[in-house]
Amino acid sequence: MNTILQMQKVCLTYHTQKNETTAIKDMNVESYEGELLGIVGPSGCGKTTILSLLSGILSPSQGQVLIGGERANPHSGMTGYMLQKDELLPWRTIMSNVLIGLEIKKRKTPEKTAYAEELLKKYNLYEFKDFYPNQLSGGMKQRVALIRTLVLEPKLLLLDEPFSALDFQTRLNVVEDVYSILRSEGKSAVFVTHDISEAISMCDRVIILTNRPSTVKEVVDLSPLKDYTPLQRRELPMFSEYFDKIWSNLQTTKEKSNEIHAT
Amino acid sequence: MKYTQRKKNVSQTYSAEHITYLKKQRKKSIVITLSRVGLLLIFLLLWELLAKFKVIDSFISSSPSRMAACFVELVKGGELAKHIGITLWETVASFFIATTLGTLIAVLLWWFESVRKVLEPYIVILNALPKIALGPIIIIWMGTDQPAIITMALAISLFVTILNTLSGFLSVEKSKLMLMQTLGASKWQTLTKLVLPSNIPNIIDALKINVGMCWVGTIMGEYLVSHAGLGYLIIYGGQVFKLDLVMTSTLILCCLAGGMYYLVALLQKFVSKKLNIE
Repeated sequence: MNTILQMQKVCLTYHTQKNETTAIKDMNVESYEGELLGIVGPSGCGKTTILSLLSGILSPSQGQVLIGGERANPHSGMTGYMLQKDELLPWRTIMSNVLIGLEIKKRKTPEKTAYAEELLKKYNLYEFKDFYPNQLSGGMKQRVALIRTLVLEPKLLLLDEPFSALDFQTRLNVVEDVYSILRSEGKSAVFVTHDISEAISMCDRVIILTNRPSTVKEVVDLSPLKDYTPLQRRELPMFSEYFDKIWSNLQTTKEKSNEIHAT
Repeated sequence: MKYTQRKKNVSQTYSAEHITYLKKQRKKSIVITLSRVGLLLIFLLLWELLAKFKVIDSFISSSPSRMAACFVELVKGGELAKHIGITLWETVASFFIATTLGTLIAVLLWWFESVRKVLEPYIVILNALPKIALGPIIIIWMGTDQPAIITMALAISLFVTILNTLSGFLSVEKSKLMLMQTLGASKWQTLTKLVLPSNIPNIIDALKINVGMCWVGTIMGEYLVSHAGLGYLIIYGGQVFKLDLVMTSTLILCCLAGGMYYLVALLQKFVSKKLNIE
């Protein structure tokens, strides 16, 4: 298996007028092509920061971030970032929203447009291509946002709690959709969330982070679940075992931080 | 267009209750329109009658019939078109200059953050300054003709435009800016694909404010220096105690300013529809 992502001894420090904060310390992470890697951690542990590092928007203070063997860079087109909300532009139609990334990267060709149409057809959004975002449901908009990312044909997808803005019902369905889209397109992805069950239902492997300055605490292998879809996984007895394992891991990090606050 | 078709289908199956509701709404809006026209007619009638029966002195209050006579006289003399044309030209010119220049400066200040930080207090102070105080300076620098009047109108409208437009540019959602960053957009692309289009409603709102501001500026400028225009007619009428002229010119001014505001409102409606903005 080829390595798609490497974080080697990565540190990141934020500087403000008042103080400096070490968000990430000595983080080592690797991921392989075709893997769905989950990252869970206590809130405020810098999960979004990790995605910013992977996309190359932020540069690490120390260490290095390699995507496909090259230093992470937002212009390389290696990574595709999917944000918490769909962030569709209300004045553009669905089709034109899907094409905005290609426009920006000046790669909008008839072939790429055809590919975008193909993706919209495949995921049942083609008949809405001339609609405006406010005419679509939340789940549909999230799928459009995913297609906007996929059209750029990134090697690695970065998903930042992409379902947190959806209600529970829609969420289960969209997770199912996104999972099958990622699998059928054979994409690698890093999926950041604070929702343990969502991480278990989507990922091949989950990394648990410590409190700030965060580093890798534990890696949980979910490969026995590989052949099941997210909804099926939720039915399995193994599901709650994994849940307990991850949850107790997160609990101990929390307790430690409480002790630190107490002393 | 499936969406509109669906809407039409719904309209064919209105319930009786909904139809009564619609009728009620329609009746309401007719009553409001009639009341508006009625209010104006009653006001004019009362004014005319009070003047006719010498309850008020029509020498200082004029009257609708005297204003009508004055209007006819102005039209016959061929002067009115000239005065209206001059004032309108000054207002429209300053409106376009203020809007274009103001938006352009706002774009530059958005682009260059450090320039913005340096200039911010100056713009705020210039905006707070009562522009009429600049009158003497403007006369000495720009002369006593139309350039001076347009400068006055610009002084009044430009800084408001800059500040309003800039604050709109700076309040673009952070998460949308993040989207642009993740797509690897350049600054120019962020401006043209996100900041400007998302600010079109904002810019049109600034246009609405500008219409009013430019009228204030033009009339003020004409009070200061002019030889022609509606502001000149008003100030001249006041000096020679021809209240008919003052009132007539003021009324014409009302109609013109209202008309221009209405045009901008129409533009807003059109653009909102085109860009799918609620």
